[in-house]
Parts: sequence; structure tokens; C-alpha cells
Amino acid sequence: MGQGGALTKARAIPFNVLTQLKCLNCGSIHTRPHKEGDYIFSNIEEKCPNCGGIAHMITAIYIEEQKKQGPR
Amino acid sequence: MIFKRGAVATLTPTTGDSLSFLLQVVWFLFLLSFFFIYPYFGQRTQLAFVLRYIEKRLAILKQIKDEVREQAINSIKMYVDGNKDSPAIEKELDGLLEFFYISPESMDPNGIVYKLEHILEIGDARFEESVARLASKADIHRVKSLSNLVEVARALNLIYRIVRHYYLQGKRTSNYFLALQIQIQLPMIMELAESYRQASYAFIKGLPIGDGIGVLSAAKFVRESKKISETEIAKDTWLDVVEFEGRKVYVVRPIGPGGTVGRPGEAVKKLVYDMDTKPDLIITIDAALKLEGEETGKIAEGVGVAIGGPGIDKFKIETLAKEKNVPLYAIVIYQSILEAITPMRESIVKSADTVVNRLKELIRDKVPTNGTAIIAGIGNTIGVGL
Repeated sequence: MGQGGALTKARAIPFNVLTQLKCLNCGSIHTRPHKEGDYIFSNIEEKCPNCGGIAHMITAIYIEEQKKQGPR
Repeated sequence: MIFKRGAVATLTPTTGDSLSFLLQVVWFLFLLSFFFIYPYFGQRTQLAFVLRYIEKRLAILKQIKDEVREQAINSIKMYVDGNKDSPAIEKELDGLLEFFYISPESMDPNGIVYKLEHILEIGDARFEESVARLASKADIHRVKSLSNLVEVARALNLIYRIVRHYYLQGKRTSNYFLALQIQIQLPMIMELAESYRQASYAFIKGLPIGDGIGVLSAAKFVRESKKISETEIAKDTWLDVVEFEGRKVYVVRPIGPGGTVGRPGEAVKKLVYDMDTKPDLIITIDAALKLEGEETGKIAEGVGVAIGGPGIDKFKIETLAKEKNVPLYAIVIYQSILEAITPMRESIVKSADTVVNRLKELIRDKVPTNGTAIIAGIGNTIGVGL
């Protein structure tokens, strides 16, 4: 008749949030763990691993997905 | 058993006779229980099982509700003026968790949409004003995200109260079918509660949620076009006027990165009536609920207005489209309810580029050169800036 009887303790939310950045200098795209204050289309200053440029724009924020089965 | 004269020898029955006697007794007891005991006690036993099942899940719902309430209090405390103490914040928040809206009377439905709009506007403003008063140090975007968080806590409070109501009613009346009604729906209710719990994380951190894909797609289209002008056209709603391959495109979307859905219906209405825009096409982009087994991020096109919610914005756009004879097209991105209100999945983010390409194709196909189109990006804009 359904799931186990034990009360669920407060579980940690199992998300790994990533921020995708686009270098405004060379156009390269890379990801890093999400930081407080990140939002899509915000301009931030971080060193580009490709060209060393500073200016970046956040183009996406998402959570990593585990591989799933295809549609049944 | 029939006793015959001279049957003394049979008083000490053989093994075969004992087994036969035993089987007869068992059969007799079975018939007795089936026709007399089970009809009376059977349903009570089943009721006990059902109530126990509901009770366990009710305890989990309470835990989830309390957890999200706690998170809301802690998030608000980060932006509270030093003078306010914790019990005062909790008391005010508990008041917000019990906040309600009463739908307008529908016996005479003429004009009911605008009555509903009026009630919702007052309610939303009151709600947001209360959160802003509590979190006095928060900026406008943070206040909107905190309002969303409190709304989630309010929804969980309501779910818990309703399930508890049916549980206690079933228990009090010992009515098996009453309890069964809620037991049947409990798996979906638990799934919804867990979705809300995970959604609270997105609102605390200000992360984009799956429902924001419509907004993200519209914003990406703007960035790939030549911008002419921009302005706040309605409350919490932004308008970008862009040029795309000789066509003028008005892109309407909520103002982020705070959590709000804006007023797209009001914005499109203003564009058409007040600003005298004569669109050749109106396209709405929104998330849609997928069926079980479908792929997340699947895109589909259709006709009509893709806007969820109580129906006010949808009604406004449909009305003006009919009056001005403007075609209505919709692009939807499929996802589950969990994916729509929790942080955006990678598959949903990737679909934004496909949506932008579809938008371009649709505009090239349906809007003549020097024509006009209106695109409305629908959804919650949390985590998506201008």
C-alpha cells in the first residue's frame, strides 16, 4: 500500500546548479558552479580561461541532469 | 454427526475421520465469517488500513510544510530591519500563510473576468506590500522572489489543511469511501508537495525555473535582433521594440530577475489600443505540462493563447485578437509540474535556441516585410534579467 512508513527527515535538495558564461571578448562559453547573485543576462567580471578577458555575460543557469531513459 | 446404536467403537475416531471433521469445522467457520463477520468488520478493517496510510503521509506533509515555512522565515530575516523580533515576523508570516482570495460571484458571469482581475490585483498588491514591509531592506526584485517563496509556503499550508480535513472527517464518521477519496489522490498530492518543497530552493536562491523558458526565449530573440526602443509598458512588464528582417516586432515579457509573471494581457492590450499597433501576428511562448513518457524540452506549435493562470491575460488577448482579426500562434515547451517550478533543467535551457529559430521561421512565413508582430514571453521571470 505505497511507500515505507518511516517519517522523512529534512532531506538536502539534490541540485547541482551550474552557471554558463559567455566571454564578451572571444565568445567562448564555459560553465562554473552557481554563485549567489548570478542571474541570466547579467554582466560579470571573471577571467576567461580562453583569452584572459574579464567581461562576461551569464547566458544560462541550470541544474545538471542525470542520464534518463528515452521516451517510452 | 449422527450417533447410531453400537457406534461405541466410533467414539474413538480414526485419523481419516478426524481430518474430515476438522475440515468440516474449518469450512463452517469460513462460511460463518464470510456471511456474518466480514460484512460488518471487513470494511472497518479496511478503513483502519486506509486511515493509517493517510496518517503517515499527513505527517510527511506537515514536515514539508514546516520546513518551507522555516525557510521562508529565515530568508525574510536576512532582510529585516533590526527592530523587528522573531516572534513578530513569524506571526505576520503565519497571517500571510492563511491569506485567501474569494472568487467573484459567477451566477451572472458577464464581466466576471474584470471583477476577478480587480480582486487579484488588490490581493497581490496587499501580499507584496506585507512582504516588503517585513523584509524592509530587500530591493524590489528580492521582494518579488520572497513573495513567491511565501506563496509556495501558503500553497503547502493549504494542501496540508485539505488532506487533514478529509482524514479527520473520514476518521470521525468511520466512512471508508470518504477516506478512500483522499487516499486515491495522495500519490499525486505528495508529488506536488515535494515539487513545491524543491521550488522553495529556487525562490530562496533566485534561480531560473522551468516555467521561465518562455521569458528566456523571448529575451534571446530580442538579443538576436536590432533593438529600436524599450520601456516598461505595464506593471512588472517590459516591452522591447526590435527590427527583424524588415519587420517590426514588439516583444513583451515580465521584468526580472525578481519572481514575477507581469501583465502580458494588459501590455498587449495597451500596444493594440493605446499605441495603435496593428499586428499581423501575435505569438505567445510558454511552458506546457507534458504527458507521462514524453520528453522534457519537446517543442510544439499551435494556435491560441499560451498563457496559464486564472485566465485574465488570456481573455484579454483573445478578445482583442478576435476584434482586430489577428492570428494567434502559440509555441509551447513541454515539461512536468516538478520541472516547471524547480530550477531549470539543461534540456529546457537548450530548447530556448530552438524556440528562437521557430519564432524566426514563423515571422518570416506569416508576417510580410514592413509588417508587425507581437511576441509575448510568458512565465515566471525569476533569475532572468532584462
